[in-house]
Amino acid sequence: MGQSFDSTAIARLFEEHYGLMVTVTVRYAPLPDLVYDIIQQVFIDFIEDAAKGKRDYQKDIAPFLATLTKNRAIDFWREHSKHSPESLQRIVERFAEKQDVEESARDIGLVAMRNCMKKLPPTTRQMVERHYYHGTSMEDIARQEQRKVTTIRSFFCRIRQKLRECIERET
Amino acid sequence: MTTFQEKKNRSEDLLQRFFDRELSDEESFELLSLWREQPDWENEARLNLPIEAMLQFHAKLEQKPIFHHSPGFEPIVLKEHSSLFRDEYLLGIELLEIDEIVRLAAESPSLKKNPAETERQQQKKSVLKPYQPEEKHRLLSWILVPAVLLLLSVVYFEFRPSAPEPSVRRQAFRPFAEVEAMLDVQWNENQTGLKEGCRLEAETFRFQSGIVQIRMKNGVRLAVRGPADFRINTVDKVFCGYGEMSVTVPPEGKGFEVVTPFMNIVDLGTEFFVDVKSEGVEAHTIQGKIELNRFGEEKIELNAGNAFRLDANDISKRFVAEPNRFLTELFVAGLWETRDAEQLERWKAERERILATPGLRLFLDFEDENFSGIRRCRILGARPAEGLSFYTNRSLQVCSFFLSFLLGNFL
Repeated sequence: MGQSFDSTAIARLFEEHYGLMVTVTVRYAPLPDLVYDIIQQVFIDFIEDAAKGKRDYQKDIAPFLATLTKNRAIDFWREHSKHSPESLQRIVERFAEKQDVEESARDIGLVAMRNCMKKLPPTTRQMVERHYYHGTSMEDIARQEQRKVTTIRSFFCRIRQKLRECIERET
Repeated sequence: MTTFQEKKNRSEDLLQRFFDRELSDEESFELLSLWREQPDWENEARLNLPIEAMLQFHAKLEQKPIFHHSPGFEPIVLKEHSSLFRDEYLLGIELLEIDEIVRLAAESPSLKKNPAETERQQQKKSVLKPYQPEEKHRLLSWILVPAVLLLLSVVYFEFRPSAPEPSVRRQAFRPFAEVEAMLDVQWNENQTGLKEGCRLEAETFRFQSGIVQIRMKNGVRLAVRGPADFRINTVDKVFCGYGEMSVTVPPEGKGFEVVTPFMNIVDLGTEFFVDVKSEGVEAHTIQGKIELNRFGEEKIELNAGNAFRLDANDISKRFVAEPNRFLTELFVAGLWETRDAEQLERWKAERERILATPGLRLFLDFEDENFSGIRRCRILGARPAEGLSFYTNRSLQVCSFFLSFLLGNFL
């Protein structure tokens, strides 16, 4: 078995556009935990398209990836919404309706995000890592920090805000 | 009565519950009602969304890389090294063992969650499936397939390459640093196996006390005093999360960067010190010049004799450098000399003890200068005397062997 295209180069191109794909995904399927599954599916589509050998990958592939991601996100959300409570759907649709198209097309560069993560105070950064990377629940973090869980949740909103402001400055 | 701030906190609390998929029906309506009341909070939530998505996406990516595997394709797994949660900077992919791909595919929620999608994918993949013989052709296949296989085997063994290419691509070990010396290091629990002379690629160091000196391929020398938590990322970049680091940069290492949680320090040809604690970071320039890149601020240049402190509350202060607080190159060299001298004294004492052993037949101390370095110590079948081991330093290389009585008797 072996494909005729340069899988290393193609895969690297894909990796370089994670930021764009994430922002496009949340535009059409605004549930953060769906993003990974959608991008996984987009990768399958992308490789199979590359195998056809019809596309020029020397050109900017961002519009093509954005289209693939958009289609996959719409499919996923359509399927997912069938099993979601109405209230959740209302929040998601509200997010989707009012998303600024220009904002959603912005590529959140991984380097910028990384730099901004590093700029967080160490205790804050550790808290972010505990929740996202190690999967520690908000309740457990609150217990460890001897704070109310509601305080910790609000705190995370402010962390994201700080990150966003930093990313804007970096880009 | 609920205050404005309490309501804001509540909307933030509910937003996080929404992101964590913990929001009940009732709470969803409460959140929508709060947003109706304060549209700004809804806008803030919308701006929060991509950041939350990035954090969740990259955290998942760490545990399970994106992959592709379908018939007719070589399996591909994206090993994303440019993580939000680790310090490596490299991007890359790997072609992995088929077993690993199968395991990833089995665990993939994308294929489990959406049966219709899976079916469509299967249909799509089927286009690429190898040719399946129909019933009426099966007999012919029984004859043709072994014949073709036999022919292929003959051709393969006749023309096979001398060294077949491996089917799995692995990253080669490309060390760019070396542990030059260590003194009284008390390692953290999971840190084992690092010894003097170890050659390193990207590596994390965590130790409670002692001193570790590292030399990078470009001649940059780092001396770190514990407690410390740092990582060498590339030949010209290290991350220091905690600890006291002295950096000496030769001209060929110019641009060397120390990343800290508070600011990044870039060398402009110099010797400098960095002290990272949880409450802030200090940078002291001893020679030459460094550049400090702060969070969203203009770059600061720090000349020799100056120091800069930035605390966790973003309060900064300039002051006079304090070289005596740190491990200067001269001080570190003195430490190694003292250590070597102590080792020499221990060896001399042990030598005296060996020489006084009754029945000693042969004693070689390898002091003959016709032999150089460690080569003097290698004798087949010999073992180091009790309490001694091979060791080296820049000026002295000594070792001793106590051969067995049996060998002595033969002589």
